[in-house]
Amino acid sequence: MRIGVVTFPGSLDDRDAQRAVRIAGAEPVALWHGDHDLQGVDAIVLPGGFSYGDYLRCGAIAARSPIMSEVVDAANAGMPVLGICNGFQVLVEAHLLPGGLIRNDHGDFICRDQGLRVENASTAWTSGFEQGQEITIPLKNGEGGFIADAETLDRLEGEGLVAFRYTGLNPNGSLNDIAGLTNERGNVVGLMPHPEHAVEPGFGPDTPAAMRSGVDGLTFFTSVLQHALARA
Amino acid sequence: MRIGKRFELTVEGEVTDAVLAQAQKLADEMLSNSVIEDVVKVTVA
Repeated sequence: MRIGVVTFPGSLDDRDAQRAVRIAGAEPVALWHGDHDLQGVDAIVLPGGFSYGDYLRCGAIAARSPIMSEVVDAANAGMPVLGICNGFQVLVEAHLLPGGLIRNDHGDFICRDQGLRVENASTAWTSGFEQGQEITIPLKNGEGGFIADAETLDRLEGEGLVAFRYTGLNPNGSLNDIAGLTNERGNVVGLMPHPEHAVEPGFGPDTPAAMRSGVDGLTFFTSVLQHALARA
Repeated sequence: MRIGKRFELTVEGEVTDAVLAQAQKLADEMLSNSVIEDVVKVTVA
């Protein structure tokens, strides 16, 4: 399986996302924001960072970059697409997921290992989790506050489109503690925390077993592999 | 306190209603995100 990782000017975590794809057993393919070519990949990751400096709004310019027209078409045709942090913001700005992300309610950048509850374990990127499973992966953002109008929130909750919820203290003021969403089809998933930083023992969050041994993020990438195999 | 952004656009030639309408469209669809902010006004300086 070939998984494309799009690099925008200002992407930071594209190489980590490629590494996570490789560790999960798939082939990472570097995609460039200025191309109109997905190089025949089977799934796409929009990585974290500060695309185009996030100058207009987080993810706003990236959502209108050349490759996004192909990404939107592929997503609408059912290809798995994962947006991490800035990638989640790009998905929202591209209208592949609803709502918006605003500055953290406390006004500060936050970086910590974050507990999450998997609220939807039937998406392309979460099928390897148990429904309701609690996981820990790093969170690092300044503008991760999820907002949406009451009607949209009701729909997200009612239709099971909340993919992840923060556990413990809400880190950024996100409504309903929402950390990540999926679309109705379950192929597009976006979240603020970073699964690609928790894929290899020695480099992940601390666990009760050992320091930095957390690899909960790996399941995102193995899930999409299984998803592809199941369809092959 | 309210904070916001102001964008100044320069166009070639006269600012017609069509140009203003185009600016309004840009403001609504690209320069702002209606989920998180409002377009207050689009005017000729």
